Amino acid sequence: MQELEPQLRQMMVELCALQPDFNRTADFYLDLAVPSVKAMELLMELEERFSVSVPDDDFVEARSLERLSGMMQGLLEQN
Amino acid sequence: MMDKADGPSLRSGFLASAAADPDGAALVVRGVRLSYGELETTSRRWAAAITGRLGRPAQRVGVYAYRSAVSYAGTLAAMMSGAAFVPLNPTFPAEKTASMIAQADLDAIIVDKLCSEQLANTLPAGLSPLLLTPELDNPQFPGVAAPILDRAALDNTAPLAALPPIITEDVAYLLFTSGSTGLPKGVPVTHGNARHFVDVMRERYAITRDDRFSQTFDQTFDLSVFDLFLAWHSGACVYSMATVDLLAPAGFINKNGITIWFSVPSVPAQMRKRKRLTPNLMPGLRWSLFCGEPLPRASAAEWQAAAPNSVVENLYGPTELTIACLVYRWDDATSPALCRHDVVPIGRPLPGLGAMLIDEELRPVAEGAEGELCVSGPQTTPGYWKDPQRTAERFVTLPVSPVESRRFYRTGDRVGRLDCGEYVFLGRTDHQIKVLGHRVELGEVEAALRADPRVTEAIGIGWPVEQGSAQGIVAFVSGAELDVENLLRLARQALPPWAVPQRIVIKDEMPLNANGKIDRRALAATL
Repeated sequence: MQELEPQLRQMMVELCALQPDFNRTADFYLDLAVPSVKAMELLMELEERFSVSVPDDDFVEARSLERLSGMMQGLLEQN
Repeated sequence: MMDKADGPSLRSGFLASAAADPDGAALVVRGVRLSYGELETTSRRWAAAITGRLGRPAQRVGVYAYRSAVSYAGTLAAMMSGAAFVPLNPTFPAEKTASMIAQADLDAIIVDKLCSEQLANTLPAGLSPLLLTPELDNPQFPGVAAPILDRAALDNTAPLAALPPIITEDVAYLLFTSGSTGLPKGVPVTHGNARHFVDVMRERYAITRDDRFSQTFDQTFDLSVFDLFLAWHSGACVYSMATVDLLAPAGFINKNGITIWFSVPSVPAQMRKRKRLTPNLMPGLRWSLFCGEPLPRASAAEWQAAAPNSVVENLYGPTELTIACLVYRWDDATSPALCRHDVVPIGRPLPGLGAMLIDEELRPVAEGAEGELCVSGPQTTPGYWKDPQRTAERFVTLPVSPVESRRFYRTGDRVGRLDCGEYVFLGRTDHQIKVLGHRVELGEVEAALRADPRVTEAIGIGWPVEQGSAQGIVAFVSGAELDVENLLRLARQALPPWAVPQRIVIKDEMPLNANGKIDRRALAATL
């Protein structure tokens, strides 16, 4: 099983057309200007690919790769 | 310049509200509340800096900012300086923004911190509009020769006392939409166009200073004009949202006491998919408004149940007809039977506007037949920016009676009319499609792929299509030694994120139809 954070980085690059080396602490929505439609797609993709239900409030807070990775790690461990 | 008299404009409504209650909240952005007085003073300050440096009122001012205080104050500052505002967007590819800046011939650009990082890559060579950087001290932009007014320079400028007059024929804003050649096409909208819309809608929605507006749209999307100026003409407050808040709008709505919601229908659609659109979720909403792409029946019905104290309306309109020009009011009892292809009707023209369905020869269709929707009246804009040929194609004068003709805009939308008089959207007449609410010209996608010389043919298709709206794009390409990764890279460089194909399929040979043209339907059937 591949490490989680590189997988999520790859997902962000593909889905949101970000540069592959984007900063792991940058805010997706304010610093990297990820558009709204992409945020929705990201959430749906996360739930589908990892077969978890992501609480809205957690997702809205997980605005950087670092925080997203931490949140997803927690959800996967709960399963 | 002072010989013309100041008339009703987008600016005058804001100024009246600011004069009536300068301490009232006009805007909440990134958690910070700004009063009408604060916004007015800041925007007059920046306007003074612009007109002082130019030595005259400005014509067009770019606002290169993203959901920040600068993006809103900058919009007002442009108008305070007598100019049209020209929104620029950091989520667009650099080439597109550069083309917009070059075409718009800007006197000045107001830049926030986020967008300042892109500025050196997007400012076309040889252009040096005045740059305002209210969030930066002494910024350096490599290779940029333009004069810069930084934070300290702007803070030390006295607010502009005597504003250059604005008349209704003046351009209020200049927006750019996708063009078939790959070059963005400009749509200037006058104060008269915009004021007609704002005045009609203020009355329709009985807006008061106690209302709180969502602000979901990027400012390069003209629907944002609804949020800002309906609110500001009424002394109400606008709540700017981060894009991610659209995923959990109920939390945002309830926390901030939002009364007027306005978004693309993708927002309820994604909530439905995730089973988040539950009954009585948003009891405080007064109005639930959707625009930008077809509204699925189930989204309207489920949102109505989730916001039971609100009225749900479906708005319709291209940028060329000023924000929205038709509107339909949802009714749980009667509306479901009127939906076509499970899509909510687009309703009837706003008061003062006229609609007509025409065939390919520009003749009115027979009663009950479908046709291309054309709209006339005070919201029909002057025509494309510096493009008389395209203007002549899309803005046409048609007879409405044996003795009268009017100027119409041809929407390119296939529309039908129900017996009850309501119009229904059926699809596009050409290959310009909407992907999740964003207009995409498939020719632009195809042109981006053909930038690789090994590509001989490229066809883009909106797919999958759910209830009349494309969720993404799939591209078919043919040629020799094709590299999908390289093609995707080219597409990402040239296109906004929603127009980048989700999949590229390599075909040895393209299917052809009877006319020898590539058969798009046959390609779509392979998906």
